[in-house]
Amino acid sequence: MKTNFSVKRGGFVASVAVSVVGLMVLGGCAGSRAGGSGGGGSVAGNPDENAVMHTVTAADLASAKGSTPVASKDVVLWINGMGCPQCVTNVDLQLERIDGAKDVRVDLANGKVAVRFEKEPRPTPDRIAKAVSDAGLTLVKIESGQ
Amino acid sequence: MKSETQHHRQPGGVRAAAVVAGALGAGLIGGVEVKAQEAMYTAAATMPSPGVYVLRQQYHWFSYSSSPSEGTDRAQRLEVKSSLQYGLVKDLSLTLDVPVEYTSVKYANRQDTDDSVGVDDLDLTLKWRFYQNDPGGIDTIRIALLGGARLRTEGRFSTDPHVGIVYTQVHDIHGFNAEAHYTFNTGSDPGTPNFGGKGDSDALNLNLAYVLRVFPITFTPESKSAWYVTAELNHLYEANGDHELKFSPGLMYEGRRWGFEIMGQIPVYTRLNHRARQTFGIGIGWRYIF
Repeated sequence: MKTNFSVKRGGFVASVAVSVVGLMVLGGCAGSRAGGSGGGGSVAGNPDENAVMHTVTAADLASAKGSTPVASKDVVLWINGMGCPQCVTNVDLQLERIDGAKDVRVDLANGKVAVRFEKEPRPTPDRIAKAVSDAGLTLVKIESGQ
Repeated sequence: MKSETQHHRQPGGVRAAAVVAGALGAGLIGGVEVKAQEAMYTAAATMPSPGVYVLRQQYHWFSYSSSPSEGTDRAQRLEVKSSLQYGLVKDLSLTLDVPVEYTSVKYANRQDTDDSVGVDDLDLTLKWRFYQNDPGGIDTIRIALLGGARLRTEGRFSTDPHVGIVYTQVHDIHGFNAEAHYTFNTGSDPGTPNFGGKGDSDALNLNLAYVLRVFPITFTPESKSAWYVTAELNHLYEANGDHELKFSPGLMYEGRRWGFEIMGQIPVYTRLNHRARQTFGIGIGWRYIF
């Protein structure tokens, strides 16, 4: 027989209360260091010494969009959100689906991914951005190599 | 609901268990690349990208004390849960869980134990990530909705629908997951003994996980793996008034595509009138992304 949920409201409230307290304790650990900003392009420069904070300009953001193929075969992608190792593998797998993409190298220390495009025409920034977005990450800049 | 198949009478259940065990053995012996990400008992708002699979297998061993209302003296349960998650489109994935259970129950009025093995209820879950904010190279905040159904595998076909929400935050070496999951139980036989979360009463799971990267503290450009310590609070509240809070500390290793995890589980607070109390649990698991 189905038990009426409201009959045990006291237990439910206690249950939620215990979990909320746990949430606050654990969330405090996770959030206490959050909120750092700025920084010098990669590491340090803010209260979170190990945090990777990309400082980008409007021009940088613009480099991550467009339908003109990227200028060089070696590019470095500045990517936000690679704290999840599964997401890092996601970006590997999604970039490798771009025709001609080779040698994808993830740099977790600096939040960057280097990739080589060996076929012509090279992919457009929009195509690269889609691959990164499909991986559940955020592309903030495309840096062309030499 | 577990298929209550007696070990010596139902070779089908044994075969199923053997298949799962064989798959695990093949995976370990073959040295496949596996990868971990979520803590063992708490979901995360992460998922494989479109066209990508995550294969995960977990071995759980739980021990239970007596349950006067059910007439049991003690019970042991080994659960082998195999999961396959697939990225359907961006921000949407589908997960199929296939658990196989072995139980050994000692009844209060009998000398011997009642052992059984079988395939437990299948579970299909859709995960839709509707919020994502990536403020830094490593940092991310994500929220996803969960929705699915537990599919009864014995007797008449029926389902127990469930819905949930999960929040994930990663900042530097710290990771945090919070999950609330509600199951509309439609009266499936919870089995004897009842291990919780099934039967006549709806169930609310509240799970919290803290994941701390302990090595390397700072990633280098060459970093390809990491070690984490994990701590979870797992709370199950049932509409019949039973509730149980457990603490689950663990250790997790991540390679580029594979991972390994091991966790323990101890009760913190229990108020149970309809089932046995879990005295401890341990779990090991691995996962592989392809």
